[in-house]
Amino acid sequence: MHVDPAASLSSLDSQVARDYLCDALSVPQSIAPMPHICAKLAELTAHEETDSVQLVRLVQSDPMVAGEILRVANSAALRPRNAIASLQQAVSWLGVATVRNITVATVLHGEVFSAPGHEPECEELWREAWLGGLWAKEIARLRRKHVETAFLAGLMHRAGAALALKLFARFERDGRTALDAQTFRNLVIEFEAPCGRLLMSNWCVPAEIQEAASEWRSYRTSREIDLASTVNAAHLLAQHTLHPQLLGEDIVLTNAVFEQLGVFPDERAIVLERRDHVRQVAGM
Amino acid sequence: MDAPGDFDLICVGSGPAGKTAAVQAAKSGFRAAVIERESQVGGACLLSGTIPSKALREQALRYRRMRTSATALSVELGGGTPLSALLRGVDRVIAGQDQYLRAQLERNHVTLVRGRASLQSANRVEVQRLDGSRLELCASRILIATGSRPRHVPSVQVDHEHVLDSDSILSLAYLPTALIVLGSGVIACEYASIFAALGCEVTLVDKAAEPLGFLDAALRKGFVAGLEAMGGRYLAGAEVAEASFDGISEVAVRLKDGRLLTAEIVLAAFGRVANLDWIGLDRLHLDLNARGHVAVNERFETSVPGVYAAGDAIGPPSLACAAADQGRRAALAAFNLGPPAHVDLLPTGVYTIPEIASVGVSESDALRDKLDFVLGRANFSEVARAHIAGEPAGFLRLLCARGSMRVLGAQAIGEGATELVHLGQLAIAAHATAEYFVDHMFNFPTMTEAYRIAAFDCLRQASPTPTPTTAPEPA
Repeated sequence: MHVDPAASLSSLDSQVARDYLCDALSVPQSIAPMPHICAKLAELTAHEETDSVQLVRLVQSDPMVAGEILRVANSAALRPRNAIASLQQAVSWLGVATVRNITVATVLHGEVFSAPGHEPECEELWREAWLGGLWAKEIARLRRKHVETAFLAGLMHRAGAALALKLFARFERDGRTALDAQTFRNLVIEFEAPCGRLLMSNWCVPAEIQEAASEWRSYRTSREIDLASTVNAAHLLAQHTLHPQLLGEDIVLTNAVFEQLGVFPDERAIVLERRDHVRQVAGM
Repeated sequence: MDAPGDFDLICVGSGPAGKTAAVQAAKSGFRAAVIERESQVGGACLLSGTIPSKALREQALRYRRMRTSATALSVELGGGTPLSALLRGVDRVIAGQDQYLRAQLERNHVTLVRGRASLQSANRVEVQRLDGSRLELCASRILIATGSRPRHVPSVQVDHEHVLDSDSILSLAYLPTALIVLGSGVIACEYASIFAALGCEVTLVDKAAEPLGFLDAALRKGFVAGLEAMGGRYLAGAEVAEASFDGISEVAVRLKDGRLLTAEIVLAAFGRVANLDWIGLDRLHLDLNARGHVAVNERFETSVPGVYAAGDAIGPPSLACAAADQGRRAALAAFNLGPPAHVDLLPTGVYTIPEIASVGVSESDALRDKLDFVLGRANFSEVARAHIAGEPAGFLRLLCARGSMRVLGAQAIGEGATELVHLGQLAIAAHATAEYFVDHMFNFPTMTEAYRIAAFDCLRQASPTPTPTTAPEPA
């Protein structure tokens, strides 16, 4: 995490940063509104009569999303026999559900996991989020429940941290100062859950996903204990995938969260065997 | 490994069979233990099958009623509605039942052990706990009550995301716009009708000419008519060659005749298989039947003396009520306590929309056995309570022996059928005749009136002259 010792804040100043974030969170709509494209997409996909022309018109309005849709449609895994050249073709080929997922992920990445001056941290959080979604899906598949929900909860589980990071970065920029690394990290952790809740509420994420993706650290007391435990385990596996030297297989496999999930040691090993698949899907 | 514990009976599984057997043994003065791999007791019946699916069904019924009863109150669920919103409250039901069942075990001094059981011999069970440690338990008798799970077939790739089974369907994130249900048995038909009632475009696909083949034709037709009235359809003679997610947005179902069906979500409902993977069949040389279930004799004892089995582990009828009864009988047999009187009056309840229930002799049974019978019918459209409830579709049939007019069977289709059939069950068990329903008074308005109407119909058919009764005809 970025450190500038010369400009480190005192504990009093860290309280100022905390107050800054509390003020920001008190006006929820102003800090993480649901992006227009996602709101419009939700509206369009709710109607059965929506045709691909309307979808194309919408995704065209965001060059990042349009580019991502074309990239995914032409990716090795999904490309049809002939390369897809137009957005119309790509939308028809991928279908509404995939276009919706790509749009949400792209917008989430671009709008939330981005904080000037903290790009490496944002990228790390994004990788954790993405891998978290994929691992959550694998765990849910083994347990034969909540596969789709688990992916979304996993994908969203670092969104709160990313938003907190973005807001503190704005505080640094506005105050022309820098928080020391430890304070910054502590504040991000402190505000991760409320920021996550606010973001997901603004983005109309289903209530159980909001709960699990913001309370995964304290999964034992979560109202969505099952899904929150899945996200916690997925986070563990994501960290292991990113930093196998720091978080070894033995530590992962003996973590108590798997007991909470009712996953026996041999079943945990089966989940871990999906490592190469997850890495491949994540593009690692 | 921890020190072994000694019990008179160890039940592997805490579903209706295992729990009831353990409680019966304990009530008879024996030391009983239940081994359960899940965190909650109750088995698939409570955690992933009977209870949650019925909760979803209740929501579907409410939605259908609101949609059809008054336009001013009409609500619309579209594709994309969170399914969790419809299952709200199920967790509380499960937690409440779990608490009740635990208390029952505790009250009866039944030891509950969490872990995965593996039989080492006819009286030794190894339990693997979630932390990897192992525990050995010993008992003079063991009951295998491990339940069942959805059956998968190689040609249909169940990924629990796009192609789901009857366990994972309940954790779907969103209500799909279109759903294909593969199969035509009870589970397939229940879910097909529930999702159709919720507004999904449902196609039920199977090679059979009609769904629910074990029921009488009138009930089968009633189910199909109900499904079609909700916008669903049954595709008969359709054998599935392959079904898999296309990796993009749809599941493609290819039929053996070359037809191709597509939908957002596919439910594979090909029945259930016994949970026997971990039990240690090889070590024990337990005999299985042709369908892969544990083979038992009339005392529920397996091919290994001292080892009993009950519930879904031994196969059909795979009903919670039957499993509980089997568990009780197995425990009594295991301790030579003398079984209760043999009762073969097993009611069948199919929680489709409309609901279907049957008990005793069916029309097809009677025809097959060349019985001399009359079949009285009461359409719910003739029953005041059905109109009040807004459920005038459906009927009740009473099958009586011509001559004696003894009630031999009862069947119903329509809301409340699974409750309604119990009165017929009692009439059969009590050797009552059709006159019973004519001579006795029942609350009005109630659905029981249907019995009276059906009884009059039986008497009318049996008598060449106008029905000689002292009671007035129903209004």
